[in-house]
Amino acid sequence: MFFLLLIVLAALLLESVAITLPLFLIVVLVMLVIFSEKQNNLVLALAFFGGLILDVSAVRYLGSTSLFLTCWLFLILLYERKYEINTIPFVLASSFFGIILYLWFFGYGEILIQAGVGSIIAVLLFKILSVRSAPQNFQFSIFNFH
Amino acid sequence: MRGRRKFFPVFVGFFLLSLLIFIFSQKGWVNGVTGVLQTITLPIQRYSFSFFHSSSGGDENIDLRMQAAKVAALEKDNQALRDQFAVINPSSKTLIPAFIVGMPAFLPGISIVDEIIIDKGSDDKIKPGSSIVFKDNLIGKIVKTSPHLSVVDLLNHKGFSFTAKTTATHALGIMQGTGTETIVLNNVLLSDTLQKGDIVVTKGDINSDGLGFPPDLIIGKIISINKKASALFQSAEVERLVDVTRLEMVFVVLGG
Repeated sequence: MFFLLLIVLAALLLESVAITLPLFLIVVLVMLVIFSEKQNNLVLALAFFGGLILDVSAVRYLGSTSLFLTCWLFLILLYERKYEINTIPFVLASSFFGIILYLWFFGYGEILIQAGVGSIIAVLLFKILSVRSAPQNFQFSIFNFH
Repeated sequence: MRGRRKFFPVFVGFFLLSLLIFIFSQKGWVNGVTGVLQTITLPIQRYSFSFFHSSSGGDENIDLRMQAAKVAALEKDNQALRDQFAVINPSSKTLIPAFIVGMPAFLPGISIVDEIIIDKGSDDKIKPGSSIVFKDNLIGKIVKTSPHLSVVDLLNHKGFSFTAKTTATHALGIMQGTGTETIVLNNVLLSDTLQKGDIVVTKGDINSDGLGFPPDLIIGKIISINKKASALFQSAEVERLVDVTRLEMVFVVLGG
């Protein structure tokens, strides 16, 4: 729990002052994938409040980041009803397209490079958090599409 | 399918709340709330920026590094204030000192910075369009304000343009940001003379509200010239004299 809190705070802080890469989006997305069975509502709440903090510190319209994050997470949860999302390909694809949309929505540049780097970070974070939470429940095979 | 907690009502709740806040924010009805939230987050943001900005690696004790960053920041601020108020143009009466609290870039320290966030906003009478200076150098322009923070587009920001002139030959042109490290002086008549090393300054285009760029603020130095006899205009690549990534404090030129 402490580790998760630390990651969330670091992502918020870095994104607020130094980096355009949407680290907070990556963190909430990975958390949703890992904890979707039990804590999906908590992750939605985290996305909402974290989004407000980002809006305040990045001088965006209040609510815009929250709106984006909650919608993106909702799409993932809809997808989860039919398919397995605890896989590396899913984390890779959802973070890649999520970052592209996020950067485009908020008018940032170098979209494709950032999306590429961001999706790799998302996969690494997914592996780390998966191992820390419940390693026996997750499969890391890239062929795991079921 | 596995049993899951119902997320739809929770999503609808947060979605509607976000949408409501977003609409209110666009109408300017939640500026008070934004101001209160910024009052809370601003010290953390400023302290974090100062820490990230001054940290240069090494394995020193983290507390000592934080304290050193604080002292170094104070020294820099004092020096910046002394230097700025010794400058005649723009007049110190129209200036507000502001700390940089955000310098978002893809890879901090490596990627090109074309936007900064400062700790002064609409509560300090700052409006979009105000120019940002350091000594007598033009740094950028305010593009967005909130109660306690403002976003500044730097001169190299893509789409940024304004009129400028060279000091030695008085050639007129349009400065344009390219999204890269350098900026370009475009649309200079072929009959005008451009010289390598010549200093480019603002022509001055302040509107009736007092917003815009005061004249004769330094933009940079010409490092290369692109002149073709067949073209209508000539252009020059201009290098900025101030490295914005090393600054911690800038000054807002107040209009009217």
